[in-house]
Order: sequence, then structure tokens, then C-alpha cells
Amino acid sequence: MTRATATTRRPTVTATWTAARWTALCAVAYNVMHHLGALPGGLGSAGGGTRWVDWIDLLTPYAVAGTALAALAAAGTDRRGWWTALVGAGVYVQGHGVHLAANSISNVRGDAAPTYLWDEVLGHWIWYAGAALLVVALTRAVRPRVTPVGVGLALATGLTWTTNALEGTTAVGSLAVAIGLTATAAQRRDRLLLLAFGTSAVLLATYGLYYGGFPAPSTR
Amino acid sequence: MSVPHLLAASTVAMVLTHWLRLLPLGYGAAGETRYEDFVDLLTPYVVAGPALLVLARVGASRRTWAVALLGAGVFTQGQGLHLSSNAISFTSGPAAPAYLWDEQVGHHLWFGGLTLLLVVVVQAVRSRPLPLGPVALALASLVGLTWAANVIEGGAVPFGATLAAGLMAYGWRLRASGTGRLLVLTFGLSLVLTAAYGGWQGGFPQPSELGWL
Repeated sequence: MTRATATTRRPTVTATWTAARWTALCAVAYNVMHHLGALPGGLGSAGGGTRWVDWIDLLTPYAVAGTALAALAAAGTDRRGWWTALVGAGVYVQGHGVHLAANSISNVRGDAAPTYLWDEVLGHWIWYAGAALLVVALTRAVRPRVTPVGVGLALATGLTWTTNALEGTTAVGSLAVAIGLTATAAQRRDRLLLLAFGTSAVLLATYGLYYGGFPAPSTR
Repeated sequence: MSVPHLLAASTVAMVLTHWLRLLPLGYGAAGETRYEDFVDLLTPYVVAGPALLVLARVGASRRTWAVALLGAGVFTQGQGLHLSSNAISFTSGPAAPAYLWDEQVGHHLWFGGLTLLLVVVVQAVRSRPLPLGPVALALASLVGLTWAANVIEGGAVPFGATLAAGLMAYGWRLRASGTGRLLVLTFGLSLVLTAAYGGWQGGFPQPSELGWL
């Protein structure tokens, strides 16, 4: 059986292979569902002014936050971990819902005010803040073993955090989170977390320096 | 806070946040929105938060937590979908797909999630003696009124009335307990009010369509 090691900094924290598997599933769900917008034409019209991808996207909170909470349950996280995760999950679900409806409307009617505010500003900032809180809760409780699959998922997560930050107009906040999580990873010697958010921090900083800001790639 | 206080806090929050549209806060917040839209961002936390704290207080099982979190998630998702599309509709009209996300998908998920969360909390506290004083009866009546108003204004009468009928039946099964009697009062009143409105209007036009809101 593959092993997951528990963090030694917090003795109340335990991690199991089940927790590691749920964390891997969470990473897969995050990387897939947070790139649904890249599907060509949103998979076509689903009627009522919506696209098929909008309906698939309704599953995103359950796929991402659900697996994150399952990982925490399997790891037996402590009370602080649960409160961080529950607030994070609530914020994540709310931001995603706010974004989803506004984004779907903007696909048909354009992003004039207040659509842009609800989609790109409130929606994305709330959604990604929730994602960051879930990462913090997972980081406290689960430290999966470094394997090729883990490295691949960590790199993919770093890339997804980066592309979402740039397309979602949250680059400054997302860069700050990436730097904070990189510092935490270095302190805890959490190599997968370091790989994910170190990569994202470097990519975002490089992009910002190259373009003198953070223009969304789709607008260039 | 004790379990009765947490239940009362969640109930008061549910009533207040579901009547936010009556606040004369007005239009003119940033980005062409209403101030109450921003206040409405707090709704999931003030309603579901105390309800989940009740489960923590009573030491709910893992399965109970899983179902409660699913209900809270569906409630939060539906409220989020509704909130943004409703704010957009207010400014630029309900043309597709705004109406769909606001009135159809948003409201149905919202009410469905809230019902699931309510059932789990009732199940968790059913064996606890809850005070059936004037405050509890008044809160139950307010929730019944709010539920009726929401399903009518939300364009979700068949779904909302079905949920209310189910909750009333569940309360009837638990009628030996105070929780069960409060449930019967709440959702029985909701059904009576919804039926009375339908009989009076010959259907279920939304009060906002009648210019009342």
C-alpha cells in the first residue's frame, strides 16, 4: 500500500492513504473543472441561452469541495482545520455560483455592468478565496507522498492556479496567495505544495514583469 | 450558544435575509448594483452557519454531517446563482438566460438545499425538548409566511408547496415532540397562505408583477 506521511509539526494531524487519494481526486477535479471554460464553444447550445458546459459546471463545487472535505474527513483533521475548510467550502460554492450565472449571461448578453462585476470581480475573487482556504485546510492535514502522479498533479495545480488568476482578473491576489503558500510549503518542507504554488508564483511574477501588468491572455 | 438559541438565530436570519428586497437601501452601489445585493452575500453564512453549529453542538454523526453539508452546498449554490442573475436582471432585464438562472435553477436549488438542511437539523434535534413558548411560535409563523412569500415571488409554487407538504408530513410524524409541532405549524401555515393567495388571485402571479414589490 502506498504510504502518506503525516505532518510532524502538528501532532493532532494524521494522514492516510485514503486521505491522499481523496486529495489526488480533488486535484484532478480542480484541474479539470477549472478549465471547463476552455472547451470549444462551451460544447454547444443547451437551450435557454445556455451552453452545455454551464450545466456541467454546476457539478464543480461538489467535485472540488466535496473531495477536499472527504480528504479532511479521512485525515481526521482537527477542529480548526474543519472550520477553515467549512468556511472555505462555503465561500468556494458561493463564488462559483455567482460567477456561473453571471458568466452564462455574459456569453449571451455581453459583460456590461453589473454583469462584469458579478462574474469577474465578486465571482472570481470569492470563488478563488474559497479555493485558497480549502488548500490551507488540506495542507494542514494531508501530506501525500511524492510520486510521479503527485508531481504531475502538483504541476497541473500550479498551472491551473496561474491560468485562472490571469483569465479571472485576480492575478495580484492569486500571486499573493501563491507566495504565501510557497513560504508555508518551504517552512513545512512540503515538496508537492512547494512545487504547485512555487511554480504558480514564478509564472505569475514572470508574466507580470513581461507584460508590465496582468492582462488576461484572452484579451491579447 | 445553546441549541435553541442557535436554531432561533438561523430562523431569524432566514426570515430577515429572505425579505431583504423590502429594504429601502436603493440602487446606486458600485457597479450598478443595489446595496441589498451586497448584504445578500451574507445570507448563506448567517442561515446555514448557525444550523451547522447546531450539528456540532449535538455531536452529529459523520453521515448526518455529509447530508447537511450537501444541503448547505446546494442552498449556497442556488442562492449564489440567484443573487448574481437577479442583480443583472434588475439592471438590464430578465432576458435569457438571466431568468433561467435566477428564477428556475437558482430558486429551485436554493429551496431544495434549504429543505435538505432543515430536515437534517430537525432529525438531529428531534429528541431534544425545545421550548414551545410565544417566541418559538412567532418564529415558526414567520418562517411559514416567508416560505409562502418566497415560493410565490420565486415562481416556484409547485416545487415549494411540495416541499412544504413533505415537511409538514414529516412534522406530523414527529408531532409528539415540540420540534414536530413547530414543523407542522410552519409548513401548514405556508401551505394555507399559498393556497389562499392562489384562490384569491386565480393563480400565482408574482407580487412584483403586480407592482407590490
